[in-house]
Amino acid sequence: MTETRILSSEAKFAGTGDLARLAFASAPTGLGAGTIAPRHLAFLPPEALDLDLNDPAQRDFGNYELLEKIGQGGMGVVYRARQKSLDREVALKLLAAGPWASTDFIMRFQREAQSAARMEHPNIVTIYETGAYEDLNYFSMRLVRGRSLAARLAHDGAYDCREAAQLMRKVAEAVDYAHSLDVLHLDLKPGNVLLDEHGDPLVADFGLARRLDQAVAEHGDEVSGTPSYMAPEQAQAHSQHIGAATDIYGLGAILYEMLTGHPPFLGDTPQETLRRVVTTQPETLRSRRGDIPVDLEAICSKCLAKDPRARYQRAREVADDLGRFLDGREVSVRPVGRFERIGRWARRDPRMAVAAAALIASLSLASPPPACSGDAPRPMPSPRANCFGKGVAKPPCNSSRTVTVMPRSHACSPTSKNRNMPARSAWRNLSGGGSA
Amino acid sequence: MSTQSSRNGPAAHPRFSRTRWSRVLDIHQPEQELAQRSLFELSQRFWYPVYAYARRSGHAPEVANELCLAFFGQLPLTVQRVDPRGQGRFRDFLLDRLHCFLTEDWRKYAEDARLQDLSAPETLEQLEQRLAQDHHASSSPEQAFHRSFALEVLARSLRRLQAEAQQSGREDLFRALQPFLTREPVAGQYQELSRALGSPPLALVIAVKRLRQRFRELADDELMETVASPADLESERAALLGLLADGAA
Repeated sequence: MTETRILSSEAKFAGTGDLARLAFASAPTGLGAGTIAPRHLAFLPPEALDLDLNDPAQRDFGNYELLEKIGQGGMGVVYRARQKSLDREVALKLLAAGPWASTDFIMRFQREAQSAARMEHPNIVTIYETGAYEDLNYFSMRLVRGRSLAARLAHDGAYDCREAAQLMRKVAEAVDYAHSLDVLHLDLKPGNVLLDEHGDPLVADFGLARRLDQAVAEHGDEVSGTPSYMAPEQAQAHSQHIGAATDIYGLGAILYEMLTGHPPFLGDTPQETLRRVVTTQPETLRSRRGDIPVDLEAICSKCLAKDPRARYQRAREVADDLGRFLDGREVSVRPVGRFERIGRWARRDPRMAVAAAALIASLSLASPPPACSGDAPRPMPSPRANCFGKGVAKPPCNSSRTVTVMPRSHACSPTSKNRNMPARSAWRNLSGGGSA
Repeated sequence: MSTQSSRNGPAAHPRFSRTRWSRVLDIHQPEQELAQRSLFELSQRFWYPVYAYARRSGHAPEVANELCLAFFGQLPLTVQRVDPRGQGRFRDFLLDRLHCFLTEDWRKYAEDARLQDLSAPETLEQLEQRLAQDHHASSSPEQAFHRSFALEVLARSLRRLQAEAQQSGREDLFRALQPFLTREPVAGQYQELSRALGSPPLALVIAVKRLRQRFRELADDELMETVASPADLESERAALLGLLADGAA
């Protein structure tokens, strides 16, 4: 072979024929198929971190013995490992930031990991240690023996609405806790929510996944990872707007997928998805799935607002609204009228509702009705109440104080205790001022 | 050799709908300005093959450079008259346009190109040095063009690879490992490098593996910009390999 050399002002290169074979004769990189976005030299693909665990030398990783590969993603490869010094099993993540990563990046990442390691919460994957071995950067964390929410959704499809709300309430509480320690996640997505053996969620990679993706974005001209869960301010690289509300968007995106089985936005290419994230509204939840309650849709929509200021400002508010939804109470994002509020209370506490209704009925019979004034009451908006399930009788008039909605059916009998309830107490419950 | 997809305009494949050549094939679409800009950017990358063609045609270095200036200056405008969709890959289109261009009095375009602040990406000396090393004196202008095109893809990929190493502050590592891009180290060489660089051997093995892989990614990325479908990419890879792998000029 003629040892022809390619000339360059920057460097003398290797043999042309060999270089051509490397470039054009090797197995395709996958770029043509659109499966892999070009990434910077500094970031190792998962296969580069795929160690041969049959080789004792590769299995031995300093204070850890690598036992089994249990996952991989853009950020690195996860192994089940035994921490020798404490004789316990952990999850050890080998980071994609390999020998070509800058020392500055590694130091920033380690600082971030130390910050994340301060967190102790039942729904956050605890980080034990960060470090480097043989120039390979890693962090160890609690081993979660389960699968990710992404895997659960891919295998079993969308969640039941109440189960989704229950799970997301825990996730929102975990995120609120992290925010209270000034730790943002910035990459919330089903793949970063692990489910333990009881199905309880644990949020992983707090503040760490995004650090890597940011570095990729800084160095490359391609979007890394999937942008389906990115907030609009992230998609537009408006870093000054990135904050707690960005994680709120992530909560909404996860909830959306749990309810519909699909992320809010998904285009043919990452760029198309990003364009949709920034410029279009997601398909409404109820148009995708008719049985999603209006309140849950309202909570999700509030999280997914384009403008960060229009979202919930704290993850705690999301958790609280999901709690109210689960309790059948009024959620902050969808105020309801007095009658719907009464209906909700009646559904939550049917025995008390019937008792109150019976008491009011007896009081009404005992005293002459007040003069009719004002508008007639609205009919009950929801016919789903246990006791009011067959609809409601329209009263002849509306008093300013007394609620005269009466059930046609008395399928739910009041208890003797409720029967003796004082009128004032019953009113407090009916008006939402009680313990409901 | 063009495929159905490139004849009929941009491919439906999403990844290929955004390559510069796909945008050129969209020249008659409403975003004509984008198509012209894409063609200008793409053609600028391949100054060297056009220069090599001009030199092998017998033009002196200064004249060849003047010819390149004039050619690249008017190229985006000519596609208003010529439908690029019948041309297949960018490489074929570029050579076809060059042939047509040389049948005209091309010198009239040189002044316009200067007014556009167009200039060669490399000095004459650098271009001449490359030419002397890359080609046999007996090669035809067409052979010189195609071979230089393939070499330019490799050279651009390597420059990007080196730039990424620089971005990470790993120039020393790049200089040390670049020789292993195309050959395996002999026994004990990693250990020797390990002592010199202060990096464990395992890290060096991974670094070389990644270097090679990233080079392939960058070459694919470069080539993708010149085609409009996965099938065209594959055929272009094979064609360029055929041009270079035997080392013939």
